[in-house]
Amino acid sequence: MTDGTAMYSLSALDSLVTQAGAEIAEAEEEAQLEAVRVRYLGKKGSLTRLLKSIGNLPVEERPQAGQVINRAKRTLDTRLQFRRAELRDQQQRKQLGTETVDVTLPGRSWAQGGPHPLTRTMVRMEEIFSHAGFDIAFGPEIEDDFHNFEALNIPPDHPARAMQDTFYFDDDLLLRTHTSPVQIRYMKTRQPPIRVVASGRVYRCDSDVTHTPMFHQLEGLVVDDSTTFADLKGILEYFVREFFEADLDVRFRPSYFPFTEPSAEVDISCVFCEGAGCNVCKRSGWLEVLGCGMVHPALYEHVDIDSEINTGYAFGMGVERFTMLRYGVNDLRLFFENDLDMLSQFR
Amino acid sequence: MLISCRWLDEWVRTYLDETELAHRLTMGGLEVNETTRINQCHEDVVVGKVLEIAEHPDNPELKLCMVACGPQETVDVVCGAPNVAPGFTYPLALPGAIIDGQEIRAKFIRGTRSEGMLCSEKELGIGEESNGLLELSEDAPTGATLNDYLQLDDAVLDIDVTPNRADCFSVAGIAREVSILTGNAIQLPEIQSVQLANYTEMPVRVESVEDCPRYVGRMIENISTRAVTPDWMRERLRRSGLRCLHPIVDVTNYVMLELGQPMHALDPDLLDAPGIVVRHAVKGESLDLLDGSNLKLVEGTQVIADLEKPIGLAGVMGGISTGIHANTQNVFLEAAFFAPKAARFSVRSHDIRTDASHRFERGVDPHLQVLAMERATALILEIAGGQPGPVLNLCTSKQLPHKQACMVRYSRIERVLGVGISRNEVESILVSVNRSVVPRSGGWKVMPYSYRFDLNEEHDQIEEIARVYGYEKIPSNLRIRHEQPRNVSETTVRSSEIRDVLHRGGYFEAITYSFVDPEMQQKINPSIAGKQLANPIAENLSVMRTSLWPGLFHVFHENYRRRKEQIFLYEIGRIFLPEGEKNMIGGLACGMIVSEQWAQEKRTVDFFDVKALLTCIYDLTGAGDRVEFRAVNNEGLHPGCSASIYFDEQQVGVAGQLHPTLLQQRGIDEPVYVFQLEMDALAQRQRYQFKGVSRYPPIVRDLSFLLDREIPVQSVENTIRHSAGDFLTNLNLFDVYSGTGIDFNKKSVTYRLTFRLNTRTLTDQEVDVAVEAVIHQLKQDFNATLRT
Repeated sequence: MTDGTAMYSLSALDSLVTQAGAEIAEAEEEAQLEAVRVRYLGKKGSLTRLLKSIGNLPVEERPQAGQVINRAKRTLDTRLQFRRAELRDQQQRKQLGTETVDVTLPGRSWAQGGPHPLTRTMVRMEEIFSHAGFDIAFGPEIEDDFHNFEALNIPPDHPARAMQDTFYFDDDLLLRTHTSPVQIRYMKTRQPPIRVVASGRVYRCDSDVTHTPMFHQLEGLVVDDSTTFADLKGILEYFVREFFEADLDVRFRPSYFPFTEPSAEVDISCVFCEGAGCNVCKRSGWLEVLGCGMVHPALYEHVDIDSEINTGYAFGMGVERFTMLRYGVNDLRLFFENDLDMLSQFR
Repeated sequence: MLISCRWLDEWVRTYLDETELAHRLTMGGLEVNETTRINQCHEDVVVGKVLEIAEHPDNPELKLCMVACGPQETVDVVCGAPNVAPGFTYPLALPGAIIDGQEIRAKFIRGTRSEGMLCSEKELGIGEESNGLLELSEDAPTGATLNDYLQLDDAVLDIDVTPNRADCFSVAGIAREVSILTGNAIQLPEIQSVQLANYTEMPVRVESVEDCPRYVGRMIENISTRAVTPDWMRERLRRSGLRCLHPIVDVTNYVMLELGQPMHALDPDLLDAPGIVVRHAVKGESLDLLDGSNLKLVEGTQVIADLEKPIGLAGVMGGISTGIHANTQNVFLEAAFFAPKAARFSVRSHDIRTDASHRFERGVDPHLQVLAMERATALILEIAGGQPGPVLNLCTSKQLPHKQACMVRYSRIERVLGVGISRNEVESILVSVNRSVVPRSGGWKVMPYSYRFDLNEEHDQIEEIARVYGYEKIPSNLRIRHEQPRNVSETTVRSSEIRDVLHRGGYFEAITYSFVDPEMQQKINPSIAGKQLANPIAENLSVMRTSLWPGLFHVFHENYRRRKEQIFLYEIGRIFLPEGEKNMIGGLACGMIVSEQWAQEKRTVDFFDVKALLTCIYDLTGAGDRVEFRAVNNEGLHPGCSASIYFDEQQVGVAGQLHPTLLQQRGIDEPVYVFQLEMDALAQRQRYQFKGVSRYPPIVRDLSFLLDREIPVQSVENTIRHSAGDFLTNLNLFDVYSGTGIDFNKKSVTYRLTFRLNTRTLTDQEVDVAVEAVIHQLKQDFNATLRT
């Protein structure tokens, strides 16, 4: 035997397989493993050469020897593959271990803005009424005397028109003091059934702790051939409970507005103390939140709607008031200071 | 209006405590704002009469008083008050009483025994201030507790009377309401005509009969100058918020509070030209009022005059020259019905308001004057004596307001209120609020009382029915219905979508006043004159905004002063231009757009951040590619950073950097960017139109051109789009460079052009042709050369 290893014998095969198995198990890197494969199973590998050497065996022994060697090859092949997968797995685990990020670091941030709280309230109010079948209308902020007063049954010498309440431009033009003129404009162009809300800026010549010269109202109007005071109670009870998302007590008190009769002021059980009595409700347990009533027949005379056939109701509410109650804002003037520390609490 | 429950109780006995009474009134339309208990004294404070006084042996400032405190009992009291005098009656705190938190004890004061303390109003907690001891009426029952004597077990209701209910500005009026709301009978005090003492009259002429349809007057001669207002009247006035002035004046005030008729008393001996004329002021007249003010009378104001000149502003306030004074012996009393219109004119023209004018403006019962005169006379005779003359009653009946009867249809009530109320109940309510009610077919014919200025027509009566029946008993009926199906168009851009873009861009919404500082507006927007308010609340809020920038700038400045480092603001609102109101969206940006953080470089905002945001907003219309920014030098903006925004050749907005001089004046050295867009141009969205998806690969070419620095890239882009043909699907400017390596006057722009077809693969040759065309056209239009 000149180059010893190439001579087949069962024991030689045995020791080769044992040795290769040990080398496979010991390989710690894929390259090492590949070298083992080449050494045993490569073209010039020990096992390959052993297979080639069976030509030297007697003819009758060759098939069996071939079978044995091939089986040994397959065994080694399987072990190689298994070990390779093992090594790759180890390798990946090692790699991922170095790639850990601190998931508690803050995210990459950009500025995020938000709407003014009064807008939030107005949008919400409009949404509630919209779902209840109300149309949404707008009107001019610079109004004339007719739409702001006269047509709303506020005659020229009515105390509500005194100079200290209204911003004037001249004898006729003024800044609307309420959203009610939108009622007149809407009724002028449509016949009943009417079902509409209008919101927006209104102005009064007044400025102190609880008054700003500009504020916001939302106004509602329903006119048709069967609307009653009971319907007015129904819609407003529904609205305040929807808005505050609470099963509030609601009470209607007789009051006076020139453009409605009967008129009412609406109180809700205090949203802060639930009616028990606190500073906000002045220990009464009630908060006055809006005014309403049945449309005064005098209004229909200006807009060509028959007050015998039709009845209607109207209501008006302060957006600031609802916003303060809803979000606990304690000073009206904050809304118009627009401090970013305030605004950013509503994004 | 303040009203004492005890006083009210004399008119209508309800047996309700003040809380329940307040609740009933509130639910009946007379809102009780506040219910205040009157302070009571300690029960050991009694009425004491000083019988004798001696000087204290050790201290001349102290007096030894023998004070009667019951039919037989007396106590010795040491007193230091300057106004203590024998024969007078004062509150006496006996041992055991608590005064000012201190218990009164019998003790020795400088060696002299004192068994109590004589008190002032302030010490007793029943008055704000006091000069010495509280002097009680002579006839006060010695030994009675002060609580009983002054009826201090009482509460005061503060009632908000709505402007339509002038009839409720009196105890009588509130009592009528209580009677209607509770069903308890009303007991009118007995008012009888007094016995005439003589026939002395004041000559009176009413010239302004339209504004004074009734004038009632009376002379009372020889009143006592030593009369004092009795304790019971003083207490009632105090609880109604009025001070005691003079017994005669106090009586007129008392009658006003009791019956609702404002009255005036004057001293006829002070008339320069005796006689009373009710007339309108003529040009140039003036008047010195009781409160000391001098009034230039507006022509046409109704005045009370003597035969020569005005001596009072009718229904508002008397003049000082004829005012009642301590030595007045003769009195002329006036009770008139002045028309509400005339009273409003006086109040508005002269900006004076009084309790009297408040009532006349809203309407006093035109049939109350004689009754009030008799009531006042009786009270004056009781308090100050005197000899009354006859009542003068000048009435122009046709000028008085007359009530008309009206029909109330039973069917209409349910039609308006939505509740069926029985005929009987309706009738009893109508009877309780009207002078007469006559059943007629289908309803009633009703005649309201003369003092109910608010009851004229059927709907006024329906309101009364609802109010008295109780709003809380009317059911609530929720009808949610849609009159027409509401169309929600996809092509409408909702303002919430625009807001969302701004919020994601870091902008907060501000709401600023629609009137701004004219000086600031002038600087920002000099070419348009804003509408001027006739009566602004302040000079810096006196002109309507013609731009959203002055308001936003103000908010920015306030926040900047509070050291905010990211100030991104927007506002949606109207501006007021000569041609009308326009809805705009305005914005302002200053400071860091990326704040200091570990994961990226901090960065301050610049024009292109703003432009990117605006592009996103215009993309909401689905036609963002039709929007163009053009370099236009706009007012208020940095000349080098100012753009007008065009949509299909129509200007729809402005954006740029605020002019640095505006900022430097306020010590701001950072650039501030602003924009303002017309909302109308953002209202409509093009319908989405699917253009297919290509399954074929794109061909991409990057091209760099060298061209003159001044050429706006927008023009370059327009040329590329026009010349590249239909295969060009995307054009991206990804590099702009000027500086080292190229000519100083040149810049290099690099575009990535993407070509693609939906139907087949493009060939290189086809793309080459397109690229050649682009290169050729850019050369021709801008002398641009391809960089290789």
